[in-house]
Amino acid sequence: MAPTDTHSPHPPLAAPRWVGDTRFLLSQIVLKDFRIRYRNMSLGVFWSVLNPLVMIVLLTFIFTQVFVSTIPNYPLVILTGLIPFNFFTLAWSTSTTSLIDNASLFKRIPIRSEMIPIAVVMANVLHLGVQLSLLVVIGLFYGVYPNWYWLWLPVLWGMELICIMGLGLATAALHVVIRDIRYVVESINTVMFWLVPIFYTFAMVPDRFKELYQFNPVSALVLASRLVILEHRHPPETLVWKLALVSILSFVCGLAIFRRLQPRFYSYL
Amino acid sequence: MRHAVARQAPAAAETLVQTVAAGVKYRLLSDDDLTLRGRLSRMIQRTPASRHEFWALREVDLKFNRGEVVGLVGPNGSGKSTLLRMVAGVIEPSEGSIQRPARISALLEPTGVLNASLSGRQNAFLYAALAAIPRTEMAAAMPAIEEFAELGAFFDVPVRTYSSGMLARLAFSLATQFRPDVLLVDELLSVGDEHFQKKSYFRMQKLIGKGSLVVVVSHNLGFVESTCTRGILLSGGRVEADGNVGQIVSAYRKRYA
Repeated sequence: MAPTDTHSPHPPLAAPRWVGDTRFLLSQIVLKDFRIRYRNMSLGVFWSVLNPLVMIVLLTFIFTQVFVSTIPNYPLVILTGLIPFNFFTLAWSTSTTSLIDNASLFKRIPIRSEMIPIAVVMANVLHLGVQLSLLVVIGLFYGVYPNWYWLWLPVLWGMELICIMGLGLATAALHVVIRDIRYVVESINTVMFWLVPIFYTFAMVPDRFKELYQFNPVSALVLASRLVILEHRHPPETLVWKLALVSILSFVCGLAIFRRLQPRFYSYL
Repeated sequence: MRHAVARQAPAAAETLVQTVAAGVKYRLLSDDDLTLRGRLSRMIQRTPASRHEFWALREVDLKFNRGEVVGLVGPNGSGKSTLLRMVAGVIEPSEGSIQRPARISALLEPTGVLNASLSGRQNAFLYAALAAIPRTEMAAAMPAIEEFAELGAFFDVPVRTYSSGMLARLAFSLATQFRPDVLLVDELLSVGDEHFQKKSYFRMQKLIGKGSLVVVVSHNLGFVESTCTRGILLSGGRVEADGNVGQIVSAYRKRYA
């Protein structure tokens, strides 16, 4: 119960009035998304595996038969690039449209609308788990075994998640006000496919761009994952700091943009 | 009935919800307001934004007390639903202020909250999470919700296969299970057969007995007159009259019927 100052000309908007169990709410929104996505698919979660599998087979064919590449463990290189990229694009684009997709909920129940883009990003973690297990299986096939450096992966992925939540909060709020934003996000994702080292390695990037590449949160994650998984090395400290900086900045800015636009949501939805 | 309610209410006139000079303004947006192209062309041509504003509510000073059953009446567009939404906390007032308790259970167009692809049971959990009801409490209440909604085997089938009566039963069963401080009902009880209307009427009486405030929006004047203890007549976003439900309903009939 938050009594407001009855004479204030500007009552505090979005006062913390929702007092529920945040974890319960997040888990229910995640479950809802998951159930709806797979309701009519007889193969269900298998699609999360099939999609990257097709990409690997395709890219491996092109780069071992057409443009012959000398990169060792090439399918693993592709997979360590493709999984972060897929996760990033899917999580970001679904959270961008999440407010509009779920308008019927928060126009009728007073929940904090921030929860929705955040929960939608988390809903994608389930696919991520499936795809990462695919990576482990293919890794075993190529003789790449889990090692202690893998403990870096949850840390790196945690930062990536925070980064995507920030981006998602910003674009979800902007998309309510300007309905073109989802196409902007789609275009950025297309650009990312080429700018993220998916089918090439970081070593092939010209030196003068390397610094800049590290500020791209997806590239940073790809680079760090490859060092950890394929080369059994710590990710460099500066890289981790850059990823952390970009993620925190993204989250803070995303939340600020979201809060700023929040009072308009009702009229715009 | 009014006397019975007054006797049962624990604290005679504890105010649960209070609005002070509250108003709600909507922006009326054209498609151009929502697209980049529209915004850019407006910027280039230096035409100001088409700020069509509409005040759905203006200068509303109301107090709602524990144990009251308030019926909101008024013609279409008078601000009934907006007032209900403001009390529910899904809209904040654009001017003035409002105080409300933490646990409000709103049944605002219940079909909108229920997700068509989820079953009744899955929707129940989603609803509980949204309505700030703890998981354990929800799990314990599930048999009671299932029984009250009388959906039989349909409880575990996607809601999109339900009839409107079944939807209404599920929504009512969910919203009234957890003894909220405030129960808001938007055009709901007119749905459902006589048997269910009677059942829901008794459950509402029980909630009022427990000290909940119930606010009802309905065009069914007979229902409002028989259920409510207080009536509020809205017109053009302002409170026209507030008082005894019988007088309010007859004032409304005289003006608009």
